Amino acid sequence: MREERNTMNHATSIQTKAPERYLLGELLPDERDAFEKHYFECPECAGDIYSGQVLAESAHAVFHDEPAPFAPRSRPPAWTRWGSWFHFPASVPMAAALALLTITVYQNAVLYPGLRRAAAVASMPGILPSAVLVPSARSAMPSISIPTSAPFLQLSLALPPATTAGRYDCELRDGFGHVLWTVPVSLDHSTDDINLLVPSGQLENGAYEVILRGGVGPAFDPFQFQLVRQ
Amino acid sequence: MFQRVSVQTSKQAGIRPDLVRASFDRDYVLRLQHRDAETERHFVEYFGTLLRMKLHCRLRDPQTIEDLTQETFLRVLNTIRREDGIKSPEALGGYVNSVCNNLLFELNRHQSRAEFVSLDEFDAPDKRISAESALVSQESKGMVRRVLDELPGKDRELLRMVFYEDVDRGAICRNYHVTPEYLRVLVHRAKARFRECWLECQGEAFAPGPVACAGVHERGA
Repeated sequence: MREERNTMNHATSIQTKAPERYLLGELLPDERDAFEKHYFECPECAGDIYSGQVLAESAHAVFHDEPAPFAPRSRPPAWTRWGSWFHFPASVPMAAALALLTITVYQNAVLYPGLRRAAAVASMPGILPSAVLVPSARSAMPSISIPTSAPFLQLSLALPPATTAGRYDCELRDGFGHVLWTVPVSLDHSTDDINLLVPSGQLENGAYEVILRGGVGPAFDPFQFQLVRQ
Repeated sequence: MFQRVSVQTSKQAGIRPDLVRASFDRDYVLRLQHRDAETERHFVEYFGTLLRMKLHCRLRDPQTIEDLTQETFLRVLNTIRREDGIKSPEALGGYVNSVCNNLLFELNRHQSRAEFVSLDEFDAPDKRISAESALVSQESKGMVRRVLDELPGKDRELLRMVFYEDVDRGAICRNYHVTPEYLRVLVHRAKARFRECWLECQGEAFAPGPVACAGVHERGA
């Protein structure tokens, strides 16, 4: 059994709004395990989760019984729409011309030269650093070394055999748990692994984890790795 | 895969919008050891609710959820009734949780090994949480309707997106210009109001005279 990294007490649970995050499916697998361990021993949190779950499922039933919401937008009378032409502020064309001039200068002085340089680099052949990751519960955290100049890193996530088809959100988190980006992923029954092209320019040395959230099957362990730039 | 234990489920026992607490001490465990019917009924109802909530977050097939719940009861009660049963009765909840975790682990391992599933054996996950859900009653629906009606239109729409449309939380926040914290606070307030509503209705139901929260007690009356 995977060792739980976090433990939770009642004060932490309230402080971090763990019951609400649990209901909204926002807790990471370790946090979820810790919170479940806590609410099995804390009647107050158990009651909180229970009333939340009754609320969620009853709300589902209530919305199910309701017709789909339809809110037609009311249009203003015709005379108001035509009248608005006569109230057009004179400063608007001047502001628009100034904004256009600023954009043109910026494009010619900064944007286009930068894009030309990037296009020249992108058209050259090169080597893409890559690594295969398995869920962390099954292995030690691998270390991935990439050149400092590498703009991208390819990660192949080897999915567990019990993975179910469906839509997932793939998140990259840094060692502090901050979400760096999220990308939606659709899996079908024949998918064995996911290939991610990770922009590595902004990534510092340190620990990272890729988390797959959503779907209908059991939760995934995170795919953790240590990034070393050389 | 799992054996069944013949105990009354919470669905059979009826649903309350709140859990009945108990102190899990040596006396409680002793009563379970001596098969006290009332204590067994409380144990199954209290932990059955917690187990189903926990399993609902991981599994969608109601039959698997029920099987794992029953197997957890079986294993925990068997341990309690052994001579060297449970050492710390106050940690009974934690023990029930860890037995359930072990069963989930076994289930995952079993599914990982079964590479091929024939169409006859394939049991598609039941994604419906609907009026048939075990936790939903006419009372709870009436109270939730009342809570939703008290909310501003935008908040009501947000809860619809979260609980009914099951839209990705990030997309909800982007489209409605709210933060994840706002959603959490909204759910927290709705939950608190729901509990208040239940207590109000419970009080009024026991008060003399006509019941004020008519429509809420459609089923129970």
